[in-house]
Amino acid sequence: MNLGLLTTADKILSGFIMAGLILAYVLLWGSESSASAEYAEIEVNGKHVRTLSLDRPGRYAIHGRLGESLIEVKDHQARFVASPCQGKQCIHMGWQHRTGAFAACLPNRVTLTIAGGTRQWDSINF
Amino acid sequence: MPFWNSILLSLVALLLVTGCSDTDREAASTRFMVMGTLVDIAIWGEDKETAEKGFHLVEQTMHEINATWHAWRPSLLTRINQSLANDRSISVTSQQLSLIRRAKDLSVITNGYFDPATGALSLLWGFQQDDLPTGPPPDEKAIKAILSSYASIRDLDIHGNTISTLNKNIRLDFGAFAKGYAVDLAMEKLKQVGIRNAIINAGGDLRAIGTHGHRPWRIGVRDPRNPGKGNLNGGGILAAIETRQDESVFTSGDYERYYIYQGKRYHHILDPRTGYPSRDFTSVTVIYDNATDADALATALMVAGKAHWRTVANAMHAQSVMLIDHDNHVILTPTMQKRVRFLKQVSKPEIIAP
Repeated sequence: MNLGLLTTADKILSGFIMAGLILAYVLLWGSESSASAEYAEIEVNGKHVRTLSLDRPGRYAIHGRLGESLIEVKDHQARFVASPCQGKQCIHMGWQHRTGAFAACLPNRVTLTIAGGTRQWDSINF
Repeated sequence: MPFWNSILLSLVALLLVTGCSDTDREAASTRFMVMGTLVDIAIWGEDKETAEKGFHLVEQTMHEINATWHAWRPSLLTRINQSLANDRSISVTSQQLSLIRRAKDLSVITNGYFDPATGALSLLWGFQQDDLPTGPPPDEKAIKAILSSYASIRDLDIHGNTISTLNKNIRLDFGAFAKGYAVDLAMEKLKQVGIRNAIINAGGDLRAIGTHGHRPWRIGVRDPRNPGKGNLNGGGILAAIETRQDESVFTSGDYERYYIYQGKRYHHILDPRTGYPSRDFTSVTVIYDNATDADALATALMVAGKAHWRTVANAMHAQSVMLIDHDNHVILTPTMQKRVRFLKQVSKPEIIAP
């Protein structure tokens, strides 16, 4: 292409097009988590029992195999705050807020999975 | 250049940029509990029916392995242990034997840092039960009594499909091995039905094949000491690894099954030499070419500790290893350094070739 044939208007237009393409590429391919999580899915023994909106703070009792697990939603995050298991590993897992993140009380068969946004991870090695 | 040509060119370019976005096709995923952990499966690029079939195959396979090799509920393994304890031989199928034979081989290769014949220790520590023990730790004399029996899977005699031993104290426990084996078996089932892009993650024992469309599968490695503490750089995720075609990413840690007694942590990865939980590392992550060996490798590296991990890595030809100690000091092999991307502030990793 002979750039000498381009008018000033062509060059300005080409510049805008290139900038637009770069911006589109970054927005579509570059960001890892463009949409934030919206809710926590609660399952007991592999069966979905409740969806908790991360916009609605509160403490929610979930009945599992051993008894009640207590899940807290606050500041767009969710966590276990009490569970009838011995190890309390579910509580130690702390706040979860990213789509795909999860915490579980395996003895009580209760799991909490953050959902509704863009997954940053396909799987978490733990 | 005419004005309309510029517009046409921009439209074509915009189509190229947006046309094949992966966000158009999400991976199908499911999760279930088996083998005392959560199993997470993701399948990309298949229709709903095929994905559902894949999920079912994985779940079925892992339940079968669990039922066969469960260490404390009635299973083939408990029958084997009972036979060996009573000085009797026992016959198994060729497939069952393949797991036992590989475990024995790996114990030899790792010089005993991986040894699944120490089930008596796990039982003594209270880890052979569904719920975690609460302490106190076992009496030292009881631990020494078990160690003095020198039980090792290397003492297992295999003739044809029959196993026997002269050491009656062998008590097999494939807790650090069967999950990897199950992941491999389940992945082969997925391949047999034509699934080419999938992840099976059994509580940190992960194998991935193919890709998520145009990009690799992205794996988050959990922070061993701050698993859920939120921050802008990744929540409880310490680092990211992208898999290549067919790889297993395994993490073993002292945070998986443990209890605290009088302020001290006692976890389930027991050192066959001392009878106590391994001490040096809080977490070990490896990238390896199959899940079965990766499971044994991660355990052996935890047990081998700072003094001997390189010996184990060399013996297993493991190139990609990450080790984290109690001060959050990170050791990386040069190959792992190229594969891992940290999302949290860590002190400068030490790079050590195996």
